[in-house]
Amino acid sequence: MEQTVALDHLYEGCKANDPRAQEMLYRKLASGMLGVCMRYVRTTAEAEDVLQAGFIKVFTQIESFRGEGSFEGWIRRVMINTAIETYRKNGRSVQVMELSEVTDAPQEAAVIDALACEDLLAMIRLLPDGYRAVFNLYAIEGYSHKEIAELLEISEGASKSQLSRARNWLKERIKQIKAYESR
Amino acid sequence: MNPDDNPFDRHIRDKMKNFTPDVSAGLWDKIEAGLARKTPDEAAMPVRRRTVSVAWRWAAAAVLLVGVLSYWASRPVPVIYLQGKTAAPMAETHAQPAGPVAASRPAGETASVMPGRTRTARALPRKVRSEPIPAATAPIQEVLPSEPAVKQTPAVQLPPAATPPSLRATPETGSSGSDIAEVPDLQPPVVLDDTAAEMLASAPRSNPFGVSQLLNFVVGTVDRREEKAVLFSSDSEGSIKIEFNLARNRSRK
Repeated sequence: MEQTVALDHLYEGCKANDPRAQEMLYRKLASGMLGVCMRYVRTTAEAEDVLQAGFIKVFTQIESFRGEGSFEGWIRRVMINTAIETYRKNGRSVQVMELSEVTDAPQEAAVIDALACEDLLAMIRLLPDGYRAVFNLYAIEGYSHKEIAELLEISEGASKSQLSRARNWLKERIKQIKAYESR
Repeated sequence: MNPDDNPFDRHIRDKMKNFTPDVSAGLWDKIEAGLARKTPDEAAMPVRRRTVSVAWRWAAAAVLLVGVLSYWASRPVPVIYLQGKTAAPMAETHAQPAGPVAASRPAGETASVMPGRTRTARALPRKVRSEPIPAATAPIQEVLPSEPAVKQTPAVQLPPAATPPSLRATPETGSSGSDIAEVPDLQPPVVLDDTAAEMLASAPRSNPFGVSQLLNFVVGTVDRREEKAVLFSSDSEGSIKIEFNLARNRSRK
């Protein structure tokens, strides 16, 4: 509750173009937003570029926040959209893969719990571009396939296909780690 | 949250939820610099005002370019200009009495200021000029003094073999004509033949694609009102006149 109130105050300050409020908002949210950005790009330097561009958008387009949902959620969406834009500007396109038979691998919860966040992040960042965007948007951010299709300009079927492929790819890697650790 | 929440997705989401990596120290400075570049004054600048200003700049550049190109294209050619203009002063020179001057100058110069000979040469075609002109002796008698001093001029001492037929002595009819007969009939270098003179006289004075018309067209593309702020016109000598419509601007205020 205290954080919500503080964010509301910071929102008002940022809306009034107050540099102190802007810096305080950045100090409060930069680290968590960098974690979001790092899942969408391959390197930390790229993620920091996205974070920088995202915060500039937040401060210059703050009028477009209409109070629907939380302010932090809006900032998170701005960061994700900026990451997708960067992804497009770099000439990368979401590869549409044909839907193949998806075999459900056994649950790897124990292995995932044993993994450090950095290792899991490294695995996600190794995903092909299209897989990574769809997996992040659907599995972690909670977007629907329809929203993903609009955002990435692909079909819903392609979004589902990419998600399945990404899951299988990650499960395969986790299985390899498990096999390596059991030796 | 999606309705078909996959346990695998949920495990990864829970794991990544609290991931907060360290941010580089200088990142905020970069964001501040980026914000400073995007000043609100720049965004609030009226677009229409800037557009008009740019249009006038382009118009001024176009006027300057057209002016320079037109001047360069229609610049006077020195040779033709001198030929056309020097014919009249020569005629004026011929009208003056040349008595003492003709006597003291060489024969070639004396011949060039004779009015009767000049008129005859202009009226005849070029092929006729090579023949002797007997009718030219009468004016010569009137202008030149009757003293025989001209006979000893350097022109008389030229060798006969090198003298062309047109420069040979003209047959004389009067008593003093024998003195002048040896003066060579030199053709004035500035007199044009009939065809060239007609071409110069009939040259068009006003050009529909002249400089002033082009400048007015350029101004008209920018200033579409009936009363233009600037109006260009050219007179018969080719000078360009610029008129500023100041009354129009005053009434606008």
